Amino acid sequence: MTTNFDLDLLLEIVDQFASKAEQRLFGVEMPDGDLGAVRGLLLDASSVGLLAHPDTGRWGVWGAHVDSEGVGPSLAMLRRLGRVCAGLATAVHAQGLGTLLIGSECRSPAAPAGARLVAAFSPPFGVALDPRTFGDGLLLVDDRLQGMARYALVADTADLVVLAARAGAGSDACWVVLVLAAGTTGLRLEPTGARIGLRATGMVDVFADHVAVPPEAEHHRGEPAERRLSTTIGCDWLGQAAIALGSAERAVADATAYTCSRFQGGVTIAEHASIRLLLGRAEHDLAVLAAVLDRHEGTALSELDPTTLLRWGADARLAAGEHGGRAVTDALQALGGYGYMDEYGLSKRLRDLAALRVLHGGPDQLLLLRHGLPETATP
Amino acid sequence: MSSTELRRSAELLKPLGRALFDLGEVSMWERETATLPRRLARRRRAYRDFARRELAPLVAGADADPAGYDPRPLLGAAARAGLQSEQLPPPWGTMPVGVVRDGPLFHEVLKAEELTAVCAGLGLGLLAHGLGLAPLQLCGDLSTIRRWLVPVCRENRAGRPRLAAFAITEPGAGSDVEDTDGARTARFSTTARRVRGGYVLNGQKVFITGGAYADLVTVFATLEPEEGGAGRVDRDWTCFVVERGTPGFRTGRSEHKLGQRAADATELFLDDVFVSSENLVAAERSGWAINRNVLNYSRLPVGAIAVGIARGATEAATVYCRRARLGGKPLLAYQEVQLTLADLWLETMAMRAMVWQGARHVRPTQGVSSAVKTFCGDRAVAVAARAIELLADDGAHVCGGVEKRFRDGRLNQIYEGTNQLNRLALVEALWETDLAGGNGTSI
Repeated sequence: MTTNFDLDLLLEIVDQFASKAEQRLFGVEMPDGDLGAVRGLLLDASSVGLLAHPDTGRWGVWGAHVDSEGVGPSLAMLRRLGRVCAGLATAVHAQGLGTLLIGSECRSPAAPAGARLVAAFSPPFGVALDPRTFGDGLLLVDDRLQGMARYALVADTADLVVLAARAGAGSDACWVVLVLAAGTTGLRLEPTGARIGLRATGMVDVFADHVAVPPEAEHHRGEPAERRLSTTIGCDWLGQAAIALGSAERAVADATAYTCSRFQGGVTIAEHASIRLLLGRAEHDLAVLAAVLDRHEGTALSELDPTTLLRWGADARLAAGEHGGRAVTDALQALGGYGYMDEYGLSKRLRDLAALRVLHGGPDQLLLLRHGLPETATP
Repeated sequence: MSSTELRRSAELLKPLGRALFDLGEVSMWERETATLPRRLARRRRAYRDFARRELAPLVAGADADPAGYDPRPLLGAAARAGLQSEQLPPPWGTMPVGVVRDGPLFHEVLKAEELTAVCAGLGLGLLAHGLGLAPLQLCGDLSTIRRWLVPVCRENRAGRPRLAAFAITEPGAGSDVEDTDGARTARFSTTARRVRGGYVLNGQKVFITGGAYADLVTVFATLEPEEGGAGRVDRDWTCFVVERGTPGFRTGRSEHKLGQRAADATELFLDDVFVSSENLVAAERSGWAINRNVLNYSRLPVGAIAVGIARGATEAATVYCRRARLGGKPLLAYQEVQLTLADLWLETMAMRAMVWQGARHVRPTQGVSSAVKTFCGDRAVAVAARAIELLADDGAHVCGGVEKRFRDGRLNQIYEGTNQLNRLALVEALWETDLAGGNGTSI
């Protein structure tokens, strides 16, 4: 696929899948849709190739094509999936994060075809790149892994855990990327518990208790590992922003349709100044977020400096939180009391956006991290 | 947090200087309570104790499974504690003495904040009773008060809960009646027709808080015009008391909603419901005035609900930052965390100051009440959203204790008139005196 990349065909397949997913998820009136349908949908996503895999023959979200085609196709896929269900889109995104962290150059048997991945790289209270917070994360000492990584996204179930850990201490400390079977002795995956949104995707805390790490489990060390980690985190934030954009676009579209169908004072409420202001601002917010996401989308990942990618990812996630979140809340407000009721779907989008606003780092953490990134040469 | 050096330095001041310098380590809640008249301070403490004792154990279950939550035991406890009969003074009810001097709503806003600081949904379920009784209280008609309000207060005071609900909103109309222009064209479909000995009501109401359990509902219906034709809300609206069990009156589904989930939002159906003339509240066609004044009185407690939600988020975030550790020290020790916490506290304090100032008005007015409701509703959502951000990933989880506040707070921008309509209500209130009719110098 990567050799004959056809974005239109790819997006057509995404749209077909999204249409089917919408019917299966939201055929019943439940706040988050029929979550029991997610497993089957992910199997379908896998069969049509939407779930990425560290195999250059696969083209799913964050698949090997990012190295040559840039992140644009993945962002477009996530944006479209986000229009249907941000949680389902995040589950697809989760598999891609594992693929990114391993890297496309790694083939089986480390990650056999079809394996479900969970990427764990976030220590408590922050993102792994913040050196101050890292002491609370995963540490590899004498071939033993110890510590925890929190809030790892997982598409339904996990066969393999892809971990970023710190090895060594002081000035000798460096990053390593490890791939371990989910059932490895001492490795524990615990669901993080009930949360406000994105309920169609799984989320686990990964605990390592003196886990023996064989040499073949280590895939990257030092600078290559750091590059993989930066790339994964940058793409994580970009993907979240794309999902938020899709979800917000749908919210605004639904609200617009609603306001054209409701009458007050002899005219549709779409003609009321207060509604026009709400929807006008929401449309502006979507445009701002889309513009941030467009910044480098055509640049091949291999040509994108990791620092630039991280800064872009942070900007996109921050814009998603601010502009995407406001677009959804304004769309909800346009429906008045009905917007607050689960039946109309806007409340779910608001919950999902609230979850995306802090997923793998709150805004302050992103701002601090962004400020601390080294300057990159102006092209 | 006063340093030892500061205390030592203060000790060197003259006695008057020392007296003017408050270095006491007293919580903000205690400091603000100390500014209240003693009787209100006692109430505030009692409301807080009740909320902690009775509401706190119910919060998680009622939010997670609102359909399985039965509010009747809590309603009983609230009645026994005197919270559900404060609409009338003793011997009929438990309204505090000095209410005119303090402001008739001051105890209500204190109660609203204390209850909703623990849980907005459970708190709303109790507070909605006062809204249901407000038309009876504010109509000023002694026969209505004697017939309906006195028995309800007496029963509740005796610890036998008797719940009231307030019914305006309909499937096709709601916020229309929050401003004058909307009322002229509002399409309310609930009607009243005069018959021998009373009235026949037909129509449907939606989103009625307490509707699933209310023993009586104050229902607004358009009375058929004398001259025929379609009725108008601002000319023909009339308030009636409809009791549970009246033939033709039934409840429908309770909505699944984003937050404040422990309080139901229920459909009511009126199919040829006959009510006697005694069920008429005050006078025929006085409903528009009753409704508008109820909103003047109810929007201040709604503002206080927003304060409670913001305070709940702030307190939960503070507890989290005290408990969670990073790099060997509590989150609270980090300056970036302190800056955000400061924002949460100061926003909540500013909201409370606005509510308390509004509650000092002897007769709440549209301008003040709408301003309080709108400002506090918006700020509560902002505070809760900021609290989620502060806790980052844990903020999105139920265990963090703040995501519910965000969901709850979002309703405060919608009910009692959307905040857009409340802004227009403020403009309407200011129009003659300060905007178009004033010289613009009163500010």
